[in-house]
Amino acid sequence: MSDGPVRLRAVIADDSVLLRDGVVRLLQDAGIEVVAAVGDGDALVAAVGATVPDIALVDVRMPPTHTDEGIRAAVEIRRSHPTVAVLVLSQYVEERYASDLLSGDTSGVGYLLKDRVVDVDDFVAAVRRVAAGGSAVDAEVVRQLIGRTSRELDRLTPRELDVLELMAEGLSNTGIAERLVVSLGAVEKHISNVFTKLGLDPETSAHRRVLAVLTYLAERA
Amino acid sequence: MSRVVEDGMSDTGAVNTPRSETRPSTSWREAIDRWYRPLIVAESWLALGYLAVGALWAVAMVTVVAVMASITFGLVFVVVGLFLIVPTFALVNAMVGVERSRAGWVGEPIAPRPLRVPPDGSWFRSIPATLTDPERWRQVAFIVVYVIAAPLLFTLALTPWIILLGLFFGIAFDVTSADLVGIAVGLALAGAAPRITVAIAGVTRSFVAWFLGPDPTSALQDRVDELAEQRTVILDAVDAERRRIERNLHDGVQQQLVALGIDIGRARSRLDEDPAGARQLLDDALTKVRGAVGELRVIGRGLHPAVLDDRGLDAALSSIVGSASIPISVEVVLDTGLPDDAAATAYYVVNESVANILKHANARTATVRVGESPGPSGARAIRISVSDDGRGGADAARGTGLAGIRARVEGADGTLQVESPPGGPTTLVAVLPIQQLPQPLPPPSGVT
Repeated sequence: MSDGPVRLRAVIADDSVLLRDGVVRLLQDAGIEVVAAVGDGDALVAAVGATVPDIALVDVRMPPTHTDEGIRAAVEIRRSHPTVAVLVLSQYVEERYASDLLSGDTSGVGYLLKDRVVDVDDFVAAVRRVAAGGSAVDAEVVRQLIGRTSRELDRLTPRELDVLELMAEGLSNTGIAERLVVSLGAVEKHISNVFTKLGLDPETSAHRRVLAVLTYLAERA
Repeated sequence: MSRVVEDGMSDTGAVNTPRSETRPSTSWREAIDRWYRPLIVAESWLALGYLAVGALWAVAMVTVVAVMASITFGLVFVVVGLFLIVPTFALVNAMVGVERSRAGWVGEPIAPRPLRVPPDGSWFRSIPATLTDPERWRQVAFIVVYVIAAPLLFTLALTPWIILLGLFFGIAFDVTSADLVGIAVGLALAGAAPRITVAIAGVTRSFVAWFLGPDPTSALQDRVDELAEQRTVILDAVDAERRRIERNLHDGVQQQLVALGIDIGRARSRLDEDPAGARQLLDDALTKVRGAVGELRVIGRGLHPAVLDDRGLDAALSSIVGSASIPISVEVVLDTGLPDDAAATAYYVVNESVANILKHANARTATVRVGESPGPSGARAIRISVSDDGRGGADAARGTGLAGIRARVEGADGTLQVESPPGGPTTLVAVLPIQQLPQPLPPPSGVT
């Protein structure tokens, strides 16, 4: 379909065959090449080493212990192959996992609830964004962090809160404008207000902005 | 007239009304029969024997203790005596053990009172432990007290018999009018004497039980420890069960639903350009819906089957084996219905056992039986047996399934036995006591 000059190459790790096949087809529909699909963390690290894809999609719970194999594999991949983007898919929001993963450079890192796969277009957009060095943090994670810091955020208007959430999710200004159906100028104004109210340095790069916002939220939490 | 005379002759002191002529005589006979019955009942004479032998045994025990003690003391100074300390106490233990089991003559045998420090076989190393064990000295104290108490109690029991004999011989050879009182006393005493004997034997047995029997407080303490341990096991089992359910939901149903969502999402995005492909994806989605619904049904049934409430254990067990891939026969023979908790436990045991068989045993056929079984203290209990002709080698220490069954059964105060030699066959037997009084369940908040 979208045979652009750069055809994304992805590796998928998920022990549920049903789901793995679904995601593979989904990505193929979107013109993303799936170079390997595996069922556990060790196989994932090996596959990444062998194929060096643009992005690895990783399920958190995989054999043998069904706990956090995926997170450990993701951290390992970030360390051994910094050029490979990692998008972690989780059954539920676990802040500890999120902070493990996002505690460094958030470029090329994503953490999404598995259910997001169902919103095919948004999901594919997130995959592309992370693969291109951006980030994708699940709205649920952001909402939990914001929920715990509500007092500090009282000063923000509802619209500014929306913008903060979407920023933390990793969206660019354009992405935020599209999602909220407002003009780019309006988004930029909201962002500048948010950063001023929270006392943060305005950043231009989307993923550094994510880091700043997440760090702010985590520190206040 | 003649009829009345006849009646008067056959019925001592009967009133002359025809209606009541036989009644007083029957109750008189019954009363006399009842009063003198203890004389011919083995129980009475066994009680007398118990007291007599008790007195003799007490003397024997005290003699042995005295002899052993003096030998031991005498030889302590040439070291040899030290080696006799432990055997002496062992002998004391054995002798009071005889007295305990003798209690079976007049009631239940007395359960042993546990020694503080159990013997470890070495006659030398055990000396300090033996000498400092208060339970050992309690046994010695018993013998010392019993050698006085037992003859006294026996004498007390014997006294009415001696009076009776004295009256009998005194009157038999020379009856005077003054002896009428003696006869009356004798007649009364003949019924009373065996009763007195039995009562004194009962008192003696209680005395022995107090000295040598288990401490009721420590029995309660043991029970508390046991219950505390069971509680931990149950809480662990509940926790493991919740994790299992969570995993079944997340890894099973949720994955299926997400995969289903992907199909629908893909179908929607190609609806215009590729309707045939979209239709195919929707067909796939339908298949996944059926799979997810089926899986939910299995999970729900594993939690608590509606059929158990609606149609009872028999039907619920039949539904378990009905969906199994091998033929499994079910036989439920119960006198009356079961309380809900017992039925649920029985269901759980069978459900997990059958799941184990299907998963691991490689069996061709299996049998499930549920029936009545007398419990440990005569209370009602049910016996659940599940056997298969599979490869055996089931081990509760390894399989989480068996451990879960064990926790559930022991949590219900039941017992579980598993026989599973390598190569099979495997038989699992759970015996569950039925609580007569429904135990209120703790509120669910206590579990979390």
